[in-house]
Amino acid sequence: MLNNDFLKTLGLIGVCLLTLLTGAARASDGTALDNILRKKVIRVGVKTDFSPYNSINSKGEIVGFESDVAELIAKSLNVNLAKVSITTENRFQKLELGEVDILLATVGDTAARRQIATAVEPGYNETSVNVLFRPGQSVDTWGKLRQSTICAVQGAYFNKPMSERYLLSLQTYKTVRDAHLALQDGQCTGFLYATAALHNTQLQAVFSGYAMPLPNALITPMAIFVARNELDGALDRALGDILADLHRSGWLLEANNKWGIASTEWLTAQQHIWSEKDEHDEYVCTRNTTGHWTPACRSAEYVSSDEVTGVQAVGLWIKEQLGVDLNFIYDPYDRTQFLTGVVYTMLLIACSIAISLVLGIGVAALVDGRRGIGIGALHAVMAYGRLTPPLLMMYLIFFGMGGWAMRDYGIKLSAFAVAAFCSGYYTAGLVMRALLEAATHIRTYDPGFVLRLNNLGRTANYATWPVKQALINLTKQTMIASAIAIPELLSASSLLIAEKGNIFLTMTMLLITFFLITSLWTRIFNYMEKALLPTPTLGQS
Amino acid sequence: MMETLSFLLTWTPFLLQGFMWNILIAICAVSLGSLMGAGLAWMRVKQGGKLGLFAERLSAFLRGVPTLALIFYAVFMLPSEFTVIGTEWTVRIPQWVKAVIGLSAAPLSFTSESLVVAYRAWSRGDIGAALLFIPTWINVFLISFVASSASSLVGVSELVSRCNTVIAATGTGVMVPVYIYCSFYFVITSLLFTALIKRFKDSVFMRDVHRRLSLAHQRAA
Repeated sequence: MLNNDFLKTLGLIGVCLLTLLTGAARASDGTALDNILRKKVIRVGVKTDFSPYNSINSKGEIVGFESDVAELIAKSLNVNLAKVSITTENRFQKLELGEVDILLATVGDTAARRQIATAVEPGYNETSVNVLFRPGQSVDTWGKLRQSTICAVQGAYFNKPMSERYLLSLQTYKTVRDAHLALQDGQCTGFLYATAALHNTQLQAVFSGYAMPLPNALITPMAIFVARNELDGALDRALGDILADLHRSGWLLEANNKWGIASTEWLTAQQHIWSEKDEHDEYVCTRNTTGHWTPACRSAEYVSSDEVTGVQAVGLWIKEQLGVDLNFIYDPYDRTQFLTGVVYTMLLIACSIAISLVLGIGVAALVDGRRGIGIGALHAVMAYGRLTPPLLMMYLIFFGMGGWAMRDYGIKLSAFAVAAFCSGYYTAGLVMRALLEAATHIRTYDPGFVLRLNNLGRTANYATWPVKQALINLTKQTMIASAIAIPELLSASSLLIAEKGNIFLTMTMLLITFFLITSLWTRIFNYMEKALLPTPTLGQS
Repeated sequence: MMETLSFLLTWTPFLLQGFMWNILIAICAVSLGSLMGAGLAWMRVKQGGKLGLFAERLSAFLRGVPTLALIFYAVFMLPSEFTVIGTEWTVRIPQWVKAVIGLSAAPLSFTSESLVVAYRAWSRGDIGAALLFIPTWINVFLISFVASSASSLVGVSELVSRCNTVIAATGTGVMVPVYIYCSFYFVITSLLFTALIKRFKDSVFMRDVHRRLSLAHQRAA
């Protein structure tokens, strides 16, 4: 039911968001290179979980191939180096928001990424993807992977092409650590990730027996990225020149070997391309009058335009005409992701509500008016659920207990069930407390009252409001499930942002969708309250 | 068993520091939210008209949106630093401040709603109902405190995120003890707080406030 007030509220939301948007417009002065030279520091976004490219050593320092490149760049620009730790998921946001000047974070140079940031040419290494399989579960061709459940990390560019091409069902986790744990727990048969990182994972003792028999896929150069508006700017040029020199001198190839990175073909080929000289003893690869490298030296074959039909064409037209990128409407893959997110969120809410009501009402009817050790323990268990953050509870059950159940009994916990249980458990504590307090209140005028399932209706006057609040709170809490790879709305949005960089629209869409979902459930609760409460049979349900 | 205990003891200072972040974030979020919520309530009660309607709509909207969505919104939308126009000052906004802004929405809409209800109760002369605002407001602090753990998802180094750090550094064998141990930080603090609320509800101070408000209402009437 969309009434006038509701539409007005939506209008108001729009006004608020616009205000926020203007407030968020950053005051920036000068180019990125000027800023770096003025502040005497270059802030480089680096990964810390991707050995040998970059990881934290025993002294807590970030070291690796990319750190070496970053140090060399800082030295060439004669400024200090500040390494800013970023993740696969948030690296482009940090760049866009100006928290880092450049990204040197194992970012593959893809067409989609060139739309949201500027790739410095040439690249500094190559990247490819592969799958690390659990012992005894590996396959030898990509085709045989069809429909397998594979773990992945949110925001990796290869998630989309790989799952589309090989019809993988991906479980995406927030961090590499979480994906590793899920792989060990048997949540998935393999882990789809960058080949170099997987080689390194395989070396760890806990992963002995894990195999990686597939050929490398999606071989792509890795590039330094700078902000979108720095395309052909001074920083882009300066970094490009430095990298070209590093290819020519063979420094990159040496560093590659120093860090024990297995693949060297691409770097060897690049060294050859960049060192080639013409008959006047000048480099073939130089910048032409427009400042670009000579076309032969650029590897632009992966920058291609998509074929366009149907809704997609409309979406792209809107994008071109109005500059509004509604990718989750016109892109079938993104649309599916967003809708899947909505469906999962609704399912999760429904299951959590059922669990919290059954558990809360059941335990309340069981313990009221009774005493004893068992009853005391029940009180303690419910209080524990009510006072522990659901996020912590999900980690504890899914990774902690789940890992243990897998190791000792070979039982695989379902992420969805864990998420539904944790939200339900948390809310059940609130429901139970509301009912017990209502019973206590009834005893002030009816001392013989003891809460049981058949007289539940009598508490309605006092318990309905807090129970309803607890359930509304629950509908808002399901977002936390994204931490354990449920494809609900927040994970769906994070994926869209990481892949398309459409931050403002996706986040706004997310807020509005969630407001609508919560409003819908609030209406359902109100309706149920009216429909069920006058009848005293509620207790038997 | 002893080994696990001594392991937990070793990491306690590190984890406690993270827990201080949870408390700091919760206090800041509730303070910020309550101040703004009180402002909205004032607009609704004293101003009325368009402004009052705006305040009502805003608080209704913020009540319907998940805290985590707002935290992510604040993280994505607010710049990490900006230069104050016309000066050389660069103001940095760290992640935890953005988490505070996101978390402040719940206490904001709550304060706005409850203060309006309390004001109406006071106008009727139902001082007891008006004073219910205080204990329920303290409850909101508890909810924000538990919700502060969500800021680990946006990279604030609070308790839950430090749990993950400890586990990553020492291996997954300690996962269950570390998570259970840290959940007790929340449980015990919440229980202490609840006990304090109970004492506060029945305190001489509250009775005194009750008496004064009744007098003030009689004089106003």
